[in-house]
Amino acid sequence: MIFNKEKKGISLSCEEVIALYSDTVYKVALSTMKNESDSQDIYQEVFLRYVKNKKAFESEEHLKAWFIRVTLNCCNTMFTQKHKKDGMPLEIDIPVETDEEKGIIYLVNELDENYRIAIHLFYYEQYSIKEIANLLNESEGAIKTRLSRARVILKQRWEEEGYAR
Amino acid sequence: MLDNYKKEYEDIKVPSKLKTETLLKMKEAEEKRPIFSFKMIFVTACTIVIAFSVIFTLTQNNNSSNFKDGKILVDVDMNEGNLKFEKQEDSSHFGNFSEEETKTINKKEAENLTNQNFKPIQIQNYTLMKKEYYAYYDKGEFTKVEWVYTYQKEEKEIVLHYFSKSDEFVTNSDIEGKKVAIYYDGNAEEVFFDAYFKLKKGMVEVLTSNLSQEEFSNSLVKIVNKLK
Repeated sequence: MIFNKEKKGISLSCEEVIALYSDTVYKVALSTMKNESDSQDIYQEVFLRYVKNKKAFESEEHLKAWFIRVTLNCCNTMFTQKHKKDGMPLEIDIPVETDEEKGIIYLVNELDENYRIAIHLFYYEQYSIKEIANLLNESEGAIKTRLSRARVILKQRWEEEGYAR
Repeated sequence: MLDNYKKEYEDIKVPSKLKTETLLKMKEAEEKRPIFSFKMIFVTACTIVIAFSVIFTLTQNNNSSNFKDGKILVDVDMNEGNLKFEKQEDSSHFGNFSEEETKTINKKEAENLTNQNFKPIQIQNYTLMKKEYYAYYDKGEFTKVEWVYTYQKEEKEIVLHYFSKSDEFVTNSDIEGKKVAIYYDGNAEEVFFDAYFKLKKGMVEVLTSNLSQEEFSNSLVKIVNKLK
């Protein structure tokens, strides 16, 4: 078992958290930032924060939720900094190479940030609506609405892009 | 359509170089991480301050409640001119005081309170066996101090009480048999005036003249001898 249960919960080594939460952190960052370079910066920042604020967590779920929340916070901070600095929206730098390879990720990345995050957490991380609502400090209704609207938009664009053919 | 989302995202891999670099930075940060973080120090400091506040408050409350209008047997610590009043274990009959009560007053307070030195007089042929100090409290403050010196010669005993304030006549309810309690009410530095001698129940001798220390001592011995 990779978890070392201490008196007050779970505390993991650097290697363990990298092994367990690399994908989650990187992909949440990528999904939010739509940019590999920024995602890598955020990835490092999140794991360094883990070391600096190292504490025992109640459970694996608690720890994972902490990583996602910190990642989203870091993304927001970077968004704000970039927006203030450049005054321009971020470029899309999706890790797909040609138009032919553009898949659903491309379409999701075209969505607004709120929709994107909800879709990512729901379909990739497979969190429930309630869990997403808790992670984002939103109501379940708001998350349901975002997912529903995102699906409508995606379906519409899917058809427009001709993927449905 | 969205079912593919997970599959497509799974194809994206975290660059191994990024993982390695991050791990190295984490290790580095971990080594630099102070054993006592600022947060920990802050929390500890706050806890200590709160604890002291609570203890101080409780002590104050204890003082005001337990020392009010009371008389307790105390220790007098003469170091550096301060008076340290510490309740003694056998003083419970003087009031409802808790077991470990200590109060120190500074030199100036002590001087105001006592206005006298603390040196006991010599009584001819008697040996000073015991020195006791009592503090009187009124509404949580010292009002006066009582010095009790016990002298002995074989089975005879003289108990001499000095009071720091001379505005009070003191009666004694502890006299029995050969034990004589001499209540002195006045300023010890000017040597003995307004002394009240109580030999037996209902019998009080009052010395109002100024006596030297030697005269006073001799008077005491005579009185004690009368009790034979």
